Amino acid sequence: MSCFPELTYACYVDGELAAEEARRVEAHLALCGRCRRLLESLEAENRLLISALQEPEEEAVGVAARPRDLVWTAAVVLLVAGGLNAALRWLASLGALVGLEWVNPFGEPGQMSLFFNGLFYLLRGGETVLANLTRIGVVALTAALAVGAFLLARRRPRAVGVLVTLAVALGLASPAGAIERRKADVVTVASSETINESLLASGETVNIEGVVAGDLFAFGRRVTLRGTVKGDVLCWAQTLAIEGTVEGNVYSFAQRVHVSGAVARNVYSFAQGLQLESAGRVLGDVHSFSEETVLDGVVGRDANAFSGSTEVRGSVGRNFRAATHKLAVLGSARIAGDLRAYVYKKENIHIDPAATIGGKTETRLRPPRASRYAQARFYVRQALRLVAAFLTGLVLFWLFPFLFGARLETAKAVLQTVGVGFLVLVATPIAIILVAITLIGLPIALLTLAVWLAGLYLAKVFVAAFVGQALLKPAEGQMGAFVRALLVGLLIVFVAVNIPYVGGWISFLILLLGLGAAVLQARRRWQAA
Amino acid sequence: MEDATGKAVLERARAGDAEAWTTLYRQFSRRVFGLCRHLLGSREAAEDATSEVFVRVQRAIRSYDREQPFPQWLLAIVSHYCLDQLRRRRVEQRLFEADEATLPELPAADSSPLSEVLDAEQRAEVQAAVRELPERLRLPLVLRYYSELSYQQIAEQLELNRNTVATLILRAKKELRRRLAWSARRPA
Repeated sequence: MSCFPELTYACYVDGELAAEEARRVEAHLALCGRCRRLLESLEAENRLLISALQEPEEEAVGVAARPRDLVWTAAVVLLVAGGLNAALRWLASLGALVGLEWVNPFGEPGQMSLFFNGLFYLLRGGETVLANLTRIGVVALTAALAVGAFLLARRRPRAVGVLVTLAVALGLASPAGAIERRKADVVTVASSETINESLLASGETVNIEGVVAGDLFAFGRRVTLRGTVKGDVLCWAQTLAIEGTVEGNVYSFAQRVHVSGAVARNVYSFAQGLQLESAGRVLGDVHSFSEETVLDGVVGRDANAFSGSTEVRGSVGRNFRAATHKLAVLGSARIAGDLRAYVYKKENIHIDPAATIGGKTETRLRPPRASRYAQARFYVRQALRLVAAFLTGLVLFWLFPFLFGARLETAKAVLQTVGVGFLVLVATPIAIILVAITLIGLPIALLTLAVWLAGLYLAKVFVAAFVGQALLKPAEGQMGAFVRALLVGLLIVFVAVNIPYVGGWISFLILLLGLGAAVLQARRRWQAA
Repeated sequence: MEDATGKAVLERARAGDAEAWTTLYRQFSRRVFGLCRHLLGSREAAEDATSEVFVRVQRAIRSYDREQPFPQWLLAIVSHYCLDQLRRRRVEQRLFEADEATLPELPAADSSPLSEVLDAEQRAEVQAAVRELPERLRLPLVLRYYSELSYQQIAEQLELNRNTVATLILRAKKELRRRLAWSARRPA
């Protein structure tokens, strides 16, 4: 008897042969070793296929396991946040870091200084700076669009087309500011050299001996300016030494800043140490956010120091104000206006009687800052906000229940939602401006603006509902269960966003997540309809 | 689901008990998702299909015959739904060409059946290879080895005759052997 074709054996292995044919196959197999081996490997192949197909891929695992994962993630986040908070508090208790309060972008001094300096920078910095900032914005937006396109790529090729077009349009529209770039280990502008535009210099060492007609953006370990910059200086360096002349402002983020030359306008220094040497003169204001501030030279107008320790040896043209741990005003100091000092302890102020102070001297003790968490007002306010959010959530659920149906089962889904949230957050205002420009679109723009603002507020309600539902797993569509879930979720969200230091980040993340989830849900609903 | 508690859960689900549905979802969503994933190809489509299938199951639970194993009934709904989705993707309403019935068997290539080697990586590789198979080969293969349907049941679902199903399954295997052998030889 000759061998059967492979198809017959395949059917046999699958148990699909009629009884009679199966018997004939078995009779043949008893005699033919080759066919037996084929049969065995076919059986093995079936087992392999069954096992390979049956096991859902790793990426699918999240479907079933989500609520516990979520609880774990939340627990870990809270734990990390708590640890971080404790560590920061401990550092703060050491006292040395008062001058570095601004480092925390969510603390009030940090926000204020960032805001004001940003504003000053834009107002006084001139067009080039603005153009450069715009360019950075365009790059960021393009990147956001690219991310969005990537996330959408699988499902909606057409949407990707629109996004790509938009990105290209943005790319073409980016303003072409005049800026020269130099990058090397050692960037030197020789004393004989004049750069007629702005200069972006980055390197281990940056030496400016010649003239920069525009602004100077310098990034390096050691930045030394012996020549002249006619515009502003924006510097990120370990050490910044200004020995020459700056005709605009100086914005420095550096470990040490030495000014022994002349600055025609203001100095904003975020540094570990700012030293205005005896030969140094700043014709405008000095704003120092540092651990240590030493003013030995001349300040033409006001001097403000938010530092750990502050020492004045030179002269200040107008008022001097210091919020500091330690203040020393030496005999050589001359302050034309008022001296205002805020310190924690009286004994930390030393004002030499020989020092000249034109105006009033006012020293105020800063009470150890009462934690907002220790004030009843804080809790009352939070409780009111919570109730408002709760009621809003209920009304919203009653009106548009589908908005609350977000499923965030996998890490990828979360990332995707956050991505969409970011896109909505950034792109909507731009779209509003574009639409508003056309005047006819003004009502649409205003309406969109209203929806967008409402979305910003509601984001946390969505996230709260989601968290609550994941924890309590209420039956779908039941109002009573939803009410409980929303309340629990809101409590968690309100606690999380009020965690010191990290609360700001959590709040931002919640904003993105909530916006993204709501938009995705609305879109799903719209598609289904 | 064969045990008494499983039956009880089904009864409660039939009565509209939300908790029972949560249990069912937790128990079967992976399986349902897996089948959708194999049949539809993309992960997103499979996610959507999984939730849609459960909605349909909820609606259809009254027609479920208590004598039939529940997983089998469930997976039949899943494959029915997925095939429907695939049909909708096409202009024509048929998944298979009419002349598929007279497929000649491919010349027996020297490809030998896949040996039984399965670590996680290889499993992923097999899954990827299955996903890349043309639809007409992938569907019968998945219905046979994931849903564990008989040739006859597959034939009914795909509107083909039984012999064609047998041929297509073997061709799918041969195609997999070819692809996996190729990927094994590929320099790392």
